[in-house]
Amino acid sequence: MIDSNDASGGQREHLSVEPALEPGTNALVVGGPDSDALEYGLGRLADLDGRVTVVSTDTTPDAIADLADDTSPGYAASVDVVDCRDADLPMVGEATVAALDADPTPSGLCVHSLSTLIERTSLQQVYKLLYIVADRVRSHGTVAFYTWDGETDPKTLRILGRALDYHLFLESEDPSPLRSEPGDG
Amino acid sequence: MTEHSGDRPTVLIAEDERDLADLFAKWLEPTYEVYLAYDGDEAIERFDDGIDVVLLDRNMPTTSGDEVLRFIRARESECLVAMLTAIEPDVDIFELGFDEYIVKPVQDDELRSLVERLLRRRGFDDDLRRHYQITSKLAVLEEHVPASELSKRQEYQDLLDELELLDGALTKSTGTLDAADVGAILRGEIQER
Repeated sequence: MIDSNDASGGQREHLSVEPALEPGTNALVVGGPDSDALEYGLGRLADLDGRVTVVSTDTTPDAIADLADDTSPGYAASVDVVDCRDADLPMVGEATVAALDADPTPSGLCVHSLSTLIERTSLQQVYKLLYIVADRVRSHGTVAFYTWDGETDPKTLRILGRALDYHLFLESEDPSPLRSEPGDG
Repeated sequence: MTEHSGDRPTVLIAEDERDLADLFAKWLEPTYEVYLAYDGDEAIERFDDGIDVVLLDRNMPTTSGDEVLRFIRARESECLVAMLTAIEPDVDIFELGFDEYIVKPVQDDELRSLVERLLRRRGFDDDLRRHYQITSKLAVLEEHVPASELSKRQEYQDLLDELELLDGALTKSTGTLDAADVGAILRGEIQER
C-alpha cells in the first residue's frame, strides 16, 4: 500500500518492503518500550562484510555480544561495542565520530538508543549529534541504524528523521518492520 | 570597550609577558583583527561582545585569567576562549568554562590552527542551531497543517529552501571536524544552557 507524503507537500510514501541499505544509509528503527530495535539493527548489519560498531547508551557490552551471537553464531567477534552508558552527549558524539573515523572504517554502525540520549539531554542536542554522525556515515559509506525504544512521539520522530534516510517501524511482537518510510535526509 | 574596524574575526590576546603577547599578535594579525591586553584588568576593559576569540593567560597580575574568564561567561557571551598558559591543568579546571586549554610554549602554526579551529566550530554550531530551529518549525507545521495547504504557502517553501542551503554549508564543514571538534560543539550547547 502506498500513501505519499513528501516534504514538498504530498503524502509520505509507505514502502511495503524493507529498503535495501546502500552504503551511506542512515535508518531510524522505531520500536516501543521492550521492543527489539537493537536486535533488528544488529541483524541487518550482520549481512555486511567488515566490522560493526555498536555505540550503546544503556545495554552492556556482554548483552550486546550475546545478542549478536544469537543473531548469527560467531557474529560477536565482528562487533565492537563502544560503552557509553556513563557518557554524556558530547562524549557519545566524540566516541561515535572517532569510531567512524577509525581505520578501517566500520561497515556498520548501530547507535542504541536515541530515546535514552534524549532522556539525558535534550532533543536539540540529540538532533545536532545525529546530524553530524549521519553526515559522517554518508561520507564513509557506512550503513547506520539508530534505535528508538521509548514512547513514540510523532513530532520528535519527524524532527529526528530530517537528518536520516529511512524510518523503520517495528511491532513489539514481530521484529520485522511493519512500515518503512523514507526520511528527509 | 574596543572599537572594531573590519569584517575579519577579532581576537583579544590577554598576556602579561609583553614580548610574548606582541609575538602572538604578530602571528595572528595577517588574518585577524587583534587586540592586546597586558593584564587582567585591561582584558576586562577591552572585552566586549564584538570579540570573537580570547586567548587568555591564566597567571596574570591584579586580575587572573580565571577571573577574566568568569567575567566573560557571566556576560553570557558567545565568545570563544582558549586558555594559553604555562600552568598544567589540574582538577581546578573543572569549574572553568573555556573552549580550549593549551599549555605553553606554543608555535605560530599551532596558534593559528587553534584560532581557526575555534572559529570553524562556532560557525558550524550557528548553522546547525538554525537548522534545528527550522526543522522543529517544519515538524510542527507538518503535524498540524494539511500538506495541500502548506504547499501553497511561500513561507513554507522559503523554509525548505533555507534548510537546503544550510545542508550545503554544513556538509562542507562537517568533513573538517574531528572527534574533538564534535565534542566541543556539543559541549558548547551545554554551557549555554
